[in-house]
Amino acid sequence: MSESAVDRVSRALDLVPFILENPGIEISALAKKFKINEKQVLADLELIFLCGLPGYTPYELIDLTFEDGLVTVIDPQVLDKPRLFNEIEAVVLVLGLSIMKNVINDSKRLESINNLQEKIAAKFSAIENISFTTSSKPKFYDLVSEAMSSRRSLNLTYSSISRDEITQRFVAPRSIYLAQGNFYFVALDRKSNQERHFRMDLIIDCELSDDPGSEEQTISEDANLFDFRINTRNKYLTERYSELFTDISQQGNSYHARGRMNNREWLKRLVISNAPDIELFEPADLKKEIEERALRTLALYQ
Amino acid sequence: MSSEKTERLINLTLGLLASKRYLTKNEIFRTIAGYSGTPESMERMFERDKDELRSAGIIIEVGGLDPLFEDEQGYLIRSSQIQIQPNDFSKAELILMVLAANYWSQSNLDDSAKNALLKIASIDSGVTEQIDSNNGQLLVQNFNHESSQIRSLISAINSRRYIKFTYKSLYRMVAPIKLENIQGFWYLSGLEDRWMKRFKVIRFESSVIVLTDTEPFDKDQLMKDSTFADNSEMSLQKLQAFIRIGKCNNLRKNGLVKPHDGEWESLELGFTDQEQMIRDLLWNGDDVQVIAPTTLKSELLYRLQRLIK
Repeated sequence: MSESAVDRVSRALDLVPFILENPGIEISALAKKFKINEKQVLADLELIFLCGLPGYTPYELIDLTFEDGLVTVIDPQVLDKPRLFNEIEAVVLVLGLSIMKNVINDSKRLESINNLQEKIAAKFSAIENISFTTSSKPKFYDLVSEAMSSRRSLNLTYSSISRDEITQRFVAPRSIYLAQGNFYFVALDRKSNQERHFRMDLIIDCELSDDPGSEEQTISEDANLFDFRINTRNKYLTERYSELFTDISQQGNSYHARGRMNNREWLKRLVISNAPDIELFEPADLKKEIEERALRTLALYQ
Repeated sequence: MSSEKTERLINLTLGLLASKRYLTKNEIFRTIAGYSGTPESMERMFERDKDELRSAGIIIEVGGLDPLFEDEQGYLIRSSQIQIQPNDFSKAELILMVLAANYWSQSNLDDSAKNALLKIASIDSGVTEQIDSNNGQLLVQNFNHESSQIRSLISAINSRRYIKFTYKSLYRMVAPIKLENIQGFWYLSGLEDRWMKRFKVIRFESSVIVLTDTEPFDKDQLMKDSTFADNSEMSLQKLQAFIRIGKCNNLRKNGLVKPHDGEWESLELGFTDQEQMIRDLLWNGDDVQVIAPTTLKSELLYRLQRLIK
């Protein structure tokens, strides 16, 4: 689909101040930053080169050089400053700052963040009507962060949701993320040598180990192939678990999803808890176990 | 796409931005490159150009040149209304904004976050280079919603425009008032007729259409005349159930647990989202037995039956 004139104008107004602040930037880097191809960058630069202020003599035109793949703005005329954040960018920044407030401990920084949020929100009345709520900061958040930054391992007492039991784990944290309002971390389980995701509020106890988290461990490929159908009504499942799927396609009112998963118990519970919107085809033995569990549950009510 | 038109729009923006006073249409037609033809065609061209620039968020101010001649209108773009000024943000604030934008790099709001980062890099490239990666930083993952849907809702709330969408098989026209993300899910509060209702965005069955060709709604007046609808989807209910001793850790941590017999404990737990509650109960399989509410129990049994071929 061809681009509208106004989209190109918007990009031109962003390109000039960006190049001015980043003189000598490569055209390939500009293409990457602005998510367009190098041919489009060149076309934009050629267009900008023809624009300027009334009079349109060389002194009034925007002056820039783009030779040998490098671009520099000599005279931006009045495009020496970036455009204001638009409403969505402002929302993303303000909500990001709200998340930050949830995980920092420094009260002085908290005040700076509050002031900054007010400053960004001042131009957009809608922002006061948009909010982002997460769980409160988990008790062991700082310890997990510390383990990650100091590349150390953790001894965890963890309440596993998939197995519904309390387990002892020895893990090397790799990254922290926020999903569905909860804080998680990805870690290498040192015992099984497999990558696992942990929800921080399910940690019952946690301590730093002196054993450094090794970088050389490999992730086991020992995982089950699964194949299931998801009703489009529950499209969010395809997004929520997108990292599990190797292949997904829409067929009428459903998505056909395939992937790999090494936690059979979790997969079983996922299918049961989203019944009848997820239907499992493979692994066949897991399908049988799901039916057996459903029968046992129904028997409680007879 | 016409390069001539793009060039004219850029020149018009630059001309109005550089001017220290309102420029009349005649001055614009005479001095800004790209306007030609009959007075009528230039007039039409200018009206379309103004609308397009405004749709891109460029504020074009209209003002009278002379109080004695009201029909002589002029046009101006103020830098403070469309550009970030050099002293708007301190270096410490720019760093905070980079960190805040980086949170979204694995979410479907990543595009907007990256655009914000480009603007920050246009103020001080050093700041973004210093914190260019998410090394050790918290990341927001997925977001469960198509970003275009969220963008439309934010834009409609900001511009106070009515929206249309399909929800629970009904075609709705709503004045959007508030958007909240609670535990990873977006909820829209808005007025449908005079009723204030809350909609779960993930359950929208169509794209959101923002009615840009109608007048903005008067939020204060609408709110004054509104009545809160009883939205059973979000009203508080109480679960009563038996759970196996030592099991159902995801339910027991938020509920009131009492001993029952050697195998079971009783559980009472408040909830608002029935759909999520059913999923949580099914997750625990035969380690939980629901007593009440009966509607929830019936739905649970129906879903279990569907698992058996």
